[in-house]
Amino acid sequence: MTYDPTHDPSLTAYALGELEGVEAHDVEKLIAEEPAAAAYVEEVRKTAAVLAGSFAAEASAAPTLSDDHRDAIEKAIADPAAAHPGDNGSAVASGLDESDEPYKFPVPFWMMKVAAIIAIAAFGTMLFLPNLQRAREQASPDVAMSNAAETATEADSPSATRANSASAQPTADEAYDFQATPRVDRSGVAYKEAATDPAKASRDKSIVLESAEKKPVDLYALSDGAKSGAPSPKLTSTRNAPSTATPPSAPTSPPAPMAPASRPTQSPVVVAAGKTVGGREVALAESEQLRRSRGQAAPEYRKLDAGQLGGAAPADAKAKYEGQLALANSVERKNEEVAKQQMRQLKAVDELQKDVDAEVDNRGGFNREGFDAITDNPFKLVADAHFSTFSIDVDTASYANVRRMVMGENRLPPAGAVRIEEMINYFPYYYDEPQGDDPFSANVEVAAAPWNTSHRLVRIGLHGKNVMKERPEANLVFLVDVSGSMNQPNKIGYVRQSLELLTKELDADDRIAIVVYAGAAGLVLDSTPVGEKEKILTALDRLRAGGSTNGGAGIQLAYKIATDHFVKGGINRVILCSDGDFNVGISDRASLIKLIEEKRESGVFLTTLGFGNGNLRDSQMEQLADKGNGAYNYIDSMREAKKVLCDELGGTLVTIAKDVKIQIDFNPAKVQAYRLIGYENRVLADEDFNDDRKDAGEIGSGHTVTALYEIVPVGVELAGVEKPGKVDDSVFQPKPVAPAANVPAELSDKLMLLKLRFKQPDGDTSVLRTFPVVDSGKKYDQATQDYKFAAAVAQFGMLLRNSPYKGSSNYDAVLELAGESIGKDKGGYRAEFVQIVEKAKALSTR
Amino acid sequence: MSDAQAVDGQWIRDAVDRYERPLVLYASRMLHDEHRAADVVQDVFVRLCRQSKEDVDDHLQAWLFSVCRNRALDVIRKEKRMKPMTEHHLRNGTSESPDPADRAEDRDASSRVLDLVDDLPDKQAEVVRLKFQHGLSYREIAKVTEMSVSNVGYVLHTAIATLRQQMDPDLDRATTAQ
Repeated sequence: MTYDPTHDPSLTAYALGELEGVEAHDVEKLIAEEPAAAAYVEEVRKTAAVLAGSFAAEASAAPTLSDDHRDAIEKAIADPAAAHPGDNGSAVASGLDESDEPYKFPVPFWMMKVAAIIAIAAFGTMLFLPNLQRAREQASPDVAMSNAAETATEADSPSATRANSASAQPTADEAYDFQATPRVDRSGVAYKEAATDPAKASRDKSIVLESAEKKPVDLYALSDGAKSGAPSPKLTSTRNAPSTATPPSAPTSPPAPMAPASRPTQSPVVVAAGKTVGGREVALAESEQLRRSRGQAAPEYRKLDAGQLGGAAPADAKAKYEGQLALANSVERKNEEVAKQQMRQLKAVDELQKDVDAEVDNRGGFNREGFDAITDNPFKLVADAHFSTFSIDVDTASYANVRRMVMGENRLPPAGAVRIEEMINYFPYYYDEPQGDDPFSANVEVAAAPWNTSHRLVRIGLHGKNVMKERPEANLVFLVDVSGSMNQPNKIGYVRQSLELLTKELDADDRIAIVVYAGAAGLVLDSTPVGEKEKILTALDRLRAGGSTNGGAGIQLAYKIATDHFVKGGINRVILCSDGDFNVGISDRASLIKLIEEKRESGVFLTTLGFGNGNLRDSQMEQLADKGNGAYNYIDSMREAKKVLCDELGGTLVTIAKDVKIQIDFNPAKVQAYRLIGYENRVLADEDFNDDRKDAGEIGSGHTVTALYEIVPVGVELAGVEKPGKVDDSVFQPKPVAPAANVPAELSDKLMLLKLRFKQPDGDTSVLRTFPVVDSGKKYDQATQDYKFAAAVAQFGMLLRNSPYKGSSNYDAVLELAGESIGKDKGGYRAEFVQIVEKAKALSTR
Repeated sequence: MSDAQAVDGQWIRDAVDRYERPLVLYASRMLHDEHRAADVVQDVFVRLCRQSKEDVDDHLQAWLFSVCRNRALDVIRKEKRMKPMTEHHLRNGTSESPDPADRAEDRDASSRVLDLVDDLPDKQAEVVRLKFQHGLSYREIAKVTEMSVSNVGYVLHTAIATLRQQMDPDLDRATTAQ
């Protein structure tokens, strides 16, 4: 029998990069045996390329939204509850019927599926007898697994790696973690109801628990297992969950919806549970929720509905909110016959596990806080936590983002986009060169904090040795996103120009390869010596955006090329250029991180360069670089490209020390409380400092890294510092002694001890360096220019973030401080900073 | 405006910048009317404002396309202008295949390919666009169109086979002759 490739959809899927693992392997085998299959795959790829190209041309000419539309969206942003599709006038009102809402995805897929399955388990018998019996049987273990998995991520993973933390001093974050424990104990489902309304919460709980009762064995068995892991107190890693480090009553008012440990699931879940479960009680909860969340806007809907759609709408809307009818209505509305409904439910069951897996992986491996999760590190009392530990960070993307928004878009950045450490570290500082064999020098300076003169500001500055003169050979693989979204001059155009710039900087022996991804991943330029410039430039000219993204295959190919041309002792690096929409599919993300971590161990590091201004996945780009021992830079202009790829090429490419951690040991005789400025998502647990398995930041050739601590000296009144409640002394324990009394005499004049740990780029064992710090009592106008400038940037960052700790900061103070500390300002970056502050000042008074 | 609101707003503005064109394009294919498409897309983003960023962040693209599709279907349903999904277009498609003389004209190549796509049955055309214009994976397309993943694979396979033949009828003869 002859083989007919045109009847085999798996060939098409394979050609488009949709197959993985066994499936892909099977097709590869087939291709090897069947020339017709191989030819067909080739044809599909060609067809796909033509299609992608044609569509890209059309997409770039597609219309955008009108100003009216944008205004309507802005209104909705300002007040999501009140906004309505039609509320900016008749031209834009499209006859859309609010009562149809919400369609789908009112909650994340995985949650919806959990809810759907609970629905099947709880109500399936009455609705879809008997076919769904099967789904129900499948559903039970799935739900139980998801619960257990949730619980496990919270309880197990951090505690497993930190078993030794159990005996550590109970710091503020641990105290918070302890508070979290009961949530986990309650069957692992209950934590989902972070509901604001206790009555509603208990209603929902009763449903969740009701379904739990129907499968007692699975659920309780697994949650018990999780429970036994839970008593180990560290439930959350401070590194991934910086916001949990803040005491719950921290003065920052936003209700910090992003604490990853406690997946915030207030209203949407309630709505979804109601929708999908379809039971009377929950549907009522839904209607209550909807009415409340829409508040005063409701009458307007009615009016519009009636006007536009005839009288039917109000009746519809009313029915929708009434108990059981909601379900009937939704079934009818979707116009699906029962069989299709069943199919979807079954499909949901099938996909649940995948999605839950991915979700769990995400939560373990990904910090999904994105822009909005940063809560300023609070002041901590030395009496409670005498160590402060964090990982260095040389990223600079936040500053470039802020610059784009202020200068290019005439608006102040949202607080979450302002990462103060990245702003400070954007600028070069002129610290002392390292001496001897050490890869970097440590420069500490103490003076009064400009925004609160009774506080001290400690500047810790590291300066990496500049090794570019005897730089090892480079083997670079550029992984370029050429998907449709990159098809803009400030994206693919900048990528091309950036690479051109780089080829001029590199030596003839260095090698460059270019891999693109879009549809199927492809090798545009195999690893080529930079000497062959023409070949590289020709390949660059061929870079065109258009088509879909298959980042997963692309990154594998890139790593393969990097490994094939590995230079021992050299610079082996994959450089990802993307607008951040790194589309690898949900299920691939955890394996992507795993791949990056594996390759990091083999010596191939990853740097990410972000392009364009639709950068949705800012946090993802940062995370990938973080996992890959590289930096994340945001290229908003060719000037920035020049900074990253020419002026600071050494720092970008050559790692001179890795896993650099800083720990401060404060002297309780001098320091009452302290606060780390910035580095919110780099905070480490104290015991991680000596744990060489814990990943931390890298420092590149010539890089400077600056960190600031604001210190409340002993004897100064503590304002805005949370003091813990008074606890009785134990009658069994010896009376506690004031810590300050224990400080050895020879150390009593020290403010603190700075401890640094780092590894050589190819080493596995860290080296410790310690530096005692003395406060000579300088005023801030006596400080060095570098110190003043960093303080000015920090102040600016606090203003933009509207930090509760900004003290007397104001734009004029920033301008004054920055103005007098511009210094030699190589590259003109500090002068540009002054302009940005001036512009921000103007914007802030609008 | 509080910080939290400012922050929320920004991710939505970013989403608008990133997805407005693709969504308008997608919706106008369904509605055959750019203005109505833009209205639908505005509505999609207004709805997005009611979502918590975290809840949609890891499947934002699928969420947007899915909501966009449903809103567009609503409009069609209300206006009873839904095109019947028949094989009609497929059968007529070949007769509209372009004159070979045009083929050398690079200028028209893109628009000709687009015509071919538009001549596919609606379902196929939609899946082809989601895949090659908007870069969705099979799984995302499955979620948006409420088909199974394997069905997406089949539809896309069929569509590509058709397009491939129409783009170059000689091609097929060549491969089968081997």
